[in-house]
This record gives sequence, C-alpha cells and structure tokens, in this order.
Amino acid sequence: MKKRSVFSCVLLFVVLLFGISSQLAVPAQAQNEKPPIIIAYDGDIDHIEPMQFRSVAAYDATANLYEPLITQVVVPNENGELVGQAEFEGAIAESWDVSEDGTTFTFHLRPDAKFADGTPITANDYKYTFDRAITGPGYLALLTPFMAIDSADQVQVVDDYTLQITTNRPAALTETIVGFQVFGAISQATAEANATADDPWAEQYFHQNSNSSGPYVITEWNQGVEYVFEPNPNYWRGLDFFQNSATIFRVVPEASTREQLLRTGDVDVALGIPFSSLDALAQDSNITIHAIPTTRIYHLGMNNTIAPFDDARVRQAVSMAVPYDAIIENVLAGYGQQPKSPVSVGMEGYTDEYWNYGDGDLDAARALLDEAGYGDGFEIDLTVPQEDQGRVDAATWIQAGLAEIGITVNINAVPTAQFSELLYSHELPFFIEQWYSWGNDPFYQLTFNFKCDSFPNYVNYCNPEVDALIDAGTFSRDPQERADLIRRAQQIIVEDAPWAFLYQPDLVIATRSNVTGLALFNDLTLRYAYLGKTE
Amino acid sequence: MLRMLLRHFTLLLGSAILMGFIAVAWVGPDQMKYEPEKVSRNTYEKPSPEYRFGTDKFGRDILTRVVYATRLDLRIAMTVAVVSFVVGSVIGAIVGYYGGRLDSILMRGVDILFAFPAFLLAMVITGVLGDSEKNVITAVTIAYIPYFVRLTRGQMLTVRTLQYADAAISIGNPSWRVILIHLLPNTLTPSLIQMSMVAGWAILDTAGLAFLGLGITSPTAEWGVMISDGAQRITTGEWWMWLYPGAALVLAAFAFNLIGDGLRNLLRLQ
Amino acid sequence: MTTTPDTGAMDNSPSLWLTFWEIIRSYPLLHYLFRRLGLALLTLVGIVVVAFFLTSVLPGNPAVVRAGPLANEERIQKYEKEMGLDRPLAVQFGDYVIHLGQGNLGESWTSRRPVQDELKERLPATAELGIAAFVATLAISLPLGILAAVYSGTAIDWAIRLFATFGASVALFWLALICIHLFYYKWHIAPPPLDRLTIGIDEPPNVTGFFTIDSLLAGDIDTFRDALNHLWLPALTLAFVVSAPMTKMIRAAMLDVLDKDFIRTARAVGVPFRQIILVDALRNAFIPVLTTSGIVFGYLVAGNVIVERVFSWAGIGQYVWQALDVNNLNAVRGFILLIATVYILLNLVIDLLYSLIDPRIRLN
Repeated sequence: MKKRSVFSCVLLFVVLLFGISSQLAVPAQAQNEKPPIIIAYDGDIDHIEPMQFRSVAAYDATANLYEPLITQVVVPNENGELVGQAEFEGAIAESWDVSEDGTTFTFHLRPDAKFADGTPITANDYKYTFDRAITGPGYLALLTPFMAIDSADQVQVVDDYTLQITTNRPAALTETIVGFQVFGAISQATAEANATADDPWAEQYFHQNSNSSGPYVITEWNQGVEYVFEPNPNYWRGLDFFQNSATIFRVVPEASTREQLLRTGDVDVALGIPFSSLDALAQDSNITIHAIPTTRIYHLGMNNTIAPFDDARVRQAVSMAVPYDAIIENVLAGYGQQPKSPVSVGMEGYTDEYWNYGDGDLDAARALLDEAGYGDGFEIDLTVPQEDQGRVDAATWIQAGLAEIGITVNINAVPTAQFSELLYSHELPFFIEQWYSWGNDPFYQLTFNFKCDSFPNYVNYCNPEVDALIDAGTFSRDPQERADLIRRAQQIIVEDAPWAFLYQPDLVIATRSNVTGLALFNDLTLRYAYLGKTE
Repeated sequence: MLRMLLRHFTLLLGSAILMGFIAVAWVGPDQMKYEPEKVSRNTYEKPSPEYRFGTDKFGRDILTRVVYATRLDLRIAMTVAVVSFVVGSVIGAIVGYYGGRLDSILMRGVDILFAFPAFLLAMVITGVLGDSEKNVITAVTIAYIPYFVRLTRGQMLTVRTLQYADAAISIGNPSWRVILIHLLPNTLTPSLIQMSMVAGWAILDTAGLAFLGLGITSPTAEWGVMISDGAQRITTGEWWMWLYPGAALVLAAFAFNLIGDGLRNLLRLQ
Repeated sequence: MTTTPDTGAMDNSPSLWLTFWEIIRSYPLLHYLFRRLGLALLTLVGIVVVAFFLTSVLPGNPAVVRAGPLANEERIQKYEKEMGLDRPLAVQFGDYVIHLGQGNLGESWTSRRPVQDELKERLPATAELGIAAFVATLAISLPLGILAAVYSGTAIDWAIRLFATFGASVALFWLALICIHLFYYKWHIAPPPLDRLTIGIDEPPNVTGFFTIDSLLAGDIDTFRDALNHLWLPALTLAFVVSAPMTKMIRAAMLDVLDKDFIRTARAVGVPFRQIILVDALRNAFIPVLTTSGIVFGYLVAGNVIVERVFSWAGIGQYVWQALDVNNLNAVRGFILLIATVYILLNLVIDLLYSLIDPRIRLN
C-alpha cells in the first residue's frame, strides 16, 4: 500500500512538472521610467578588492565602484558609442594644476563628493589609497614608476580638499595613471574599521565589500550567478546622470547560450560572443554588433634565448610564414586588424614602415632558415591556453602556415594555470600571448614587454639600445622627441622579430538594437551608468 | 533459425554496426582524398559531392575527420576496455582467491575509487596527467578498473570453493596456475559483458572530456572535439558540424551497448 | 603513560571497553552497524589522502594565477607564502587535515572565501536538479521497466529495451545542446537556460535551499512556477540519460520476481494481476533497484557537471569545473570530499536498510 502512495506522489509531481511549466512565467518587473539593463557575461567576478589582480569581469565591477580623481573625456562617434579620448577631465577632483617643470600636480577635490555611506571623500582618502597602492598589497607598485614616483611620501595632503603629487622627474603618463580605475578612492575610515593585525589593509573585507566612491553599489551578491548594481545615491554626478535603474550582471558560461539569450531579448548586452557567430547574429535586425578597434595585441612569442629561436633569422622566417590574412579572416571573422609593429595600431607613434614580412613570401623564409642551419626544418611545440578558443584556432592556422616552410608545429593547449606557470618560467620556447596596455601608450607597452629585466618579457628579449630608448620616452613630455624615439625603437624590434605580430581583435559587444550609451575607456571596462534603452 | 536470429537480434545488430565501424577505421582513412588536419580556405561549406559531410571552421572535410576520428575513438575505447578488463580481472582474481588481509586492504582501495563517479575521476586524472591520447586512455582505464576488480573478486569467491578448485590444488599446481588457468576463465563471463559496456562508456567519456576541453584537444580529429566545435555553431545553422560526429558517436556507443545486452542474453545471465 | 598515580578508573577502562564490545557483539545488527561505520570512516580517510595528493600534483602553480599578468618573481613568492605553498607537501597535508577536523575546507583562492561556505551556497542547486532528475528518472523507468518485464519477449519489451540501450549511448552534452536549441530557441517552450529563476524574481526565503520547496513554504506560487519552469528541461535531459540503465535494472529485477513461486501462487489463487504487479512484485523488485542507487548517484553527479555548464546552472558541478581550470585546489578537494562523503553515507544507509529488509545479508 505504501509503495502505491509513493508512486502516485511521483506521478503527481510529474504531472505538476509538465502541467505548470508549460505556461511561461512572466517576471514582475517594476516599471520605473528608466529601464534596468541586463548583461550576460562570459566570466564570473572572483572578488572586488581593487588593488589585487582579478578576473576580467571583476575589473568591470570595480570600474563602477571606485572613482579616480580624474577621468578620460568621452566623445560620441558616428555609431553612438562613447569613445574615451587622450584628454582628461575632473572626476572627484574638480580641477588640477601642473607645475611648469611637469613634476608637481595639485588636485582640487569637490567639496560635496561623498562615499556610498554618506561620509565625504577627502584628500586623506586619496592619500590612503595611494599609500595602499604603493606600500600595501597588490600589484599597483608596478605602475607608479610610470608616474616617476617611488615613495608614498610623494603624495601629500595639503588640506582636506587638496592633494599634491610630486614626481621625481617629468613623466608622460602621470595623468593617465592617476585616472586608472585602480586609483579610485577607498574610504580610509571603512578600511581602518575593518583592518586587523593580520590584515592591516582590510583586504579580506574589500574582497566582497566596498564603500563605493563610484557610480554604483552592489545590492545583490550571488557569486557565480548574478550581481545587481544599483545607482549610488551619493554619486557626485547625481542620479540624473544614470541612464538605467539598475544593471544586472549575469554569469552565462556557454557562448551559444549567450547568443540565444540576446536573440530572444532576455538580455540586453552579451559579452564574449565568438567572432565566428557575429555575421549571423548581425542579420538579426534587433541586434547591433559593436565592434570597436582596440590596441590589444596578440603575438606569437619566440624565446630569444632558446634554440632555434635564439637565431633572429629563424624568427624572421617564422614571421614571414604566418598566414596573417587567413587568421584575421577566419579566427576573427574579419573583426580585427593586423599590427605590423610591437606598438599597437591606433597607439601614438605606430608605424608599419619597417615591417617587410609580407604574406606569402615563402622562398625568402626558406632561404633564411637554410642560412640559419635549419634547411630541413624542425619540430616545435606551440603552447596556447585551451580556454581561449581564438588562440587555439590561430595556432591551427600557424601550424598550416609553418608547415609550408618545413616547420612541424605541435599544438599544446593547456589549462590556464599551467599556461601561466609555463609562461612565467621564461622557458617557453613558442607560445601565443596577448598584451593590453591600460596606459594606451607605446613606451608603457614596450617597457613591460621588451625591457631586459621586465617580468612580462616572456621571450627574454634584451637590447640595451631599446632599453635606453624606452626610458628616454617614458620620461619625456615632449611629443616630437617621443615620436622620434618610438620610431627608432620600432625599427629595431621589428628587425629583431622577437614576436610575430598576429592580430588585434576588435572589442565586440553585442547588444539589442535599442541599447544606447556604450562607453569605452582605456581599460576597456564597461561603465554601466551610460547604458540606457530607447523604446 | 529465424527465431534464433530474432532472439539474438541485438547481438547481431550491435556486431554488424561495430564491424562497419571497424571496417571504416581500418581502411577508411586511406580512401579519403583530404587530410584530417589540413586547413583550407573553404570554411563552413555545406555538404556537397565535393565535401560529403561539409567542412568546418578551418575548411577541413568533416567526412575525413569523422573517419579518422573513428579510428582514434575505437582505438581508445578498445584499449580502455581490454586493459581495464585484464588488469581488473587479474587483481580481482588474486584478491578473491587469497582473501584475508590483502583482500580487505585492496577492496578498501577499490571502495575509495568507487566513491568517485567514473567520469569525474577521469576528469581529475586527465587534469593531472595532461592532454594526450595516452593520458586519456590511462585516466579512463583507471576509472573502470574497479568495476572489473569487484566483479571478478565476487565470482572468484564462489568458484574457489568449488570442487575443481580443490582438485587443481591437490594435484600440485602452483597457486598462480590455479588462479590464472583453472579458476579465472570460469569467472570471466560477467566481465566480458562488462567489457563491452565499458567500451561504450569509454567512447562517451572520451568525448565528454573533449567537450570540457580535456584529453584529446583541437585540432585532432575526435568526435567530442568535433561536436564541441560544432556546438558553437548550433544557433547559426551549420548543423552538419555537430550532427555527423554526434551521430557517429551515438551509433558507436549504441553498438557496444547492444553487444553487451546481446551477450548477456546469449549467456543467460538475466 | 601519565605520571599521575594510576587509579582504579584507569585499570577499569580496558575491561570497560571489552564489556562494551561484548555487548555490541551480542547484537548482530549493532555489530554490523559498527563495523560498517568503521569501514566507511576508513574509506573517507583514504579519500582525503587521495583527494589531497592527487590535486596537489595538478600541473600549474596557483600562486602564479593569483599574481596575474603584471607579476614578478617576488610577488609570486609572496603569494606562495600566503597560500602556504612554499612548505613541504607533508606539512601542507597535516595542516589541511587539522583544518578539516575543525570543519574548515580552506580558502578558495579565487574568491578568498571559505570553500565550505561556497559549497554550502551551491549544493542546493545541484541537489535540487539531481533530485528532480532522479524523480523524473523513476517516472520514466518504473512504468517502462514494468511494462517490459510484464510483456517480456514481445514487441513492447523489445522496443523498450532498444530505447534503453539507445538512451545509454547518447552523449549528454550533445543531447543538452540539442534540447536547448529545440525547446528554448526554436519552439520557445522552455525559459532561457539561465540558472534557476527568471531575472527579477527574488529567491524565496531560504529554508531548504530548494527553490521549488521554499517558494511553496512561503506560499509564493509565482516563484514556484518559475523555479519549476527552469528546472524541468535540465532535469529531463539528465533523466533521459540516467533512465536508460535504470529501466534495464527495473526490468531485470521485475523479471526475476515475476518468476518467483509466491507470485505464481498469488496468480494461481486469483489475486488480480494489477495488484500483483503494483504491490507484490514492485515491492520485491525495489530491493535490487535500491542497492544500485549508488551507481545512479554517480551517473547523476557526473551528468550534473555537464548539464550545469550547458544550462548555466550555478551548482557545485560548475564550481569544480571553474576551479579546475585555475588550480583552485581547495575548491576541487572540497568538492571531491563532499561527493565522496555523500556517496559513502548513501551506500551506508542503503546497506543498513537492506540488511533490515533481508537479514541474510548480515552474515556476509
């Protein structure tokens, strides 16, 4: 008898399962005058500690939680996208002065700017923020040399609303670095209230909490699933600035799912759509593909201290045999461009005049290999992170291209953790890596990637002349001098060919067509406040 | 006769499909006019006389890749099945025969392995070993060895008490001879059925791992890799990319399962 | 062992133990229970060892991942120290075991939160999907298995067995992709494959963590409907694959029982066939089904990892998958321990139930 009742319960459940679910539930959404914006992300927020390295999605989050002193000016382009410029405007600082010699920066803060908890944002908070960056946890101490700062004492509080930064020498990027989201104000009071003896900078607290100085506060934190960002009522620009009532961040790991959600209108914005799907997606009149050229540069790294790549001729031959067009056409579906220099296309001082590894000149490549003693070719592992489909695909094309000049490439796709470790060992002979310069500056880019003692110089490239050129450019505020220096540096590096410059993919953001206000800053993170919807 | 055929229809059908696959794996690759990993500019071509199953995002011929994948996947499945069967049966026979402390220690080990679902165990082991065909085979094999250990041990516990075991021992056979020659063969029937099932599971597991980016990875022609590639195009209409490798995968696993069922029927082990 | 003078109590303790054991031994069921508990504990210890050392040899350095692209050796070393990776493996293991004893599974290296908190948050999602899939599996397999057994040898039996064999051959990830494509994208029958609730609907107050149950407890019919609406497709996808072996097991068990004397007798004395099938036969066929639940559980957990990924279902399957990519070792270990513990407990309960039902088993 008992079994029968269990069985009927099961039946009842199944009937319910099918019966009820056949009616689509309609979400009850509050009809504010401003709409909420729903974004489908391809990754999760790991944590929001603003000074620790974090996931790509987490940088989006912190960009909307921490407000720097100054910020990039944005100007709408013909597609209605707001594009960040090289000029800066005041954010929490109303205005700032630079001394004549370019070494003293005085920032005048807005007297009415407040944190989310209602306490005023003062110069002391920025002093605390810079102290934390320079002497505290995290990686930001690596950025301050570009401002020509090496000590926290160089940031001084003049009074509650005046902050002064004194640099060792004039540097090109001081404003740019000050404008980075990672130098957004942290409340000193909040930090000190949550600090402990083991954790003097309250890192533990800031991993999941913030006292926002930026436009949003996080009102719902459901890790791995959903985060709700609501306008910060104390934001200095006021509530009228916001084009949406809330921004909802959804984690959707599977790419095809994100596409389908966008097509049905269940989300407004979808990130990380594979390039190969874009043309088909663009056919949908309700969807707009925003493809914005960026300076993110993917490159084929050839380790200068490991045979056979210790011979420049081998590196040049490889540079000639890479099927660049095929990669851009097939891997990026045309949504990208080919850089012909270690400086990205679109960056100040870029020139392609020294690049002569044109597509298809294979006899010259074979001749170079022959000269280097590799006339019969060689076999080599090409290491890529398996999570990045684009790089795995590009490796397949490179494999085909290099086969033409007798080089047998084995593709070695490894998990992220393993890829990083191999890369950081500086002993990986052949790999595909990418670089993006937040500083959007040629010298910044070359410093990290090509200076002899730089850690991210994973190809172990070392040329003292290049080092000297980079240093001179980093600490020059004279545009003409900088242009000459960067030209010469490009000439040498292109000739030495430590990288084969593969591609610069566009930043692709697919939205419903009625979504407005896609804003693009140097750090390529989304600033939610601009996002709105037309009906 | 007809009754007989009908009775063992599943076994016959399964064997026929498997024979077909083996034939394809054996001679198929030589008949192909394309190479499985050779890229071309003819990307995303629909099935046509030129490309029977169409082409993928690298302009590679899907038919060629399915055929090469057949060879690879069958090789993996059969290796896994045979190795886990041999290793598992021998271990099971030994611990079942001797019993005692060895038995209880080893069976605790087997319990530990059993506490992980086979697929997850294979997932972690592949993660540890890295991606290659050999490592997938190793990982999946380790995951299925406990099945055979448990089966054979159970059988061994029964047969070792039978009279012919005593007889074999009393005429002076060494233990290994008693175990391997006299007893083990009498315990193998259930393991043979299990072996066929494991071959089917191994195919599904290999493909599942590849779908998650583990084990066999792009650009190797493997059914799971191909489905994973095709899955990215599920909304854009290139159905041939995921349909053909998926169908091959399901059909192959189906054949092994049919054979397993049929064998069970044949050996009246219901 | 101690320097304090021995008292009578010390002398008594061994004999106390002996008495204790004698009492236990005199009750076979109790003895069996203790033996099983002991074995389960032993297996768990083994699993802790295996889980720890297996994961620690995963290639890739987690400190490197934490350091990020702007890393240098000094920072990587700093993180290694912070994460305890600079110490010998044996010391790390000792530390892990001590923390484990305190109910602490360590810190997740990506989110810097305790792993046990994260697992606790995500377990209900997996459990709800798994249980729904299990219920759906029973709903599919029970009728099919019974039908096949009752009509054994006929076309019905043949068709059902073919279906079951086919179901066991379908790759779950392939099926899941096709299901989403058809049910959500093509036919609009299913909601977007986005976790457990529609955006804008709040989670019901947390009682069990199961949204379907919690919403009913809160009397919130809309939320219940929405939760169910999100649940059915992933659950059925999973159930389709799991029901294949289940149907076969039920069929085989039923065939066995139908052949037994007591069923023949019941039929002979004129008990209605329906009643025989649904009451007597089913009850007896249930025992072998119960004993194989462990295998079914394994199927469900492994299937969950794939279904959760395809349906963006934020359960522990997704969690371990993300953790594995970046060598978030504590998270992977926590997951393994959780699954293994549940599995062992499940088997323990099944065995105990079984031994209650069928006392002969205890002798083994």
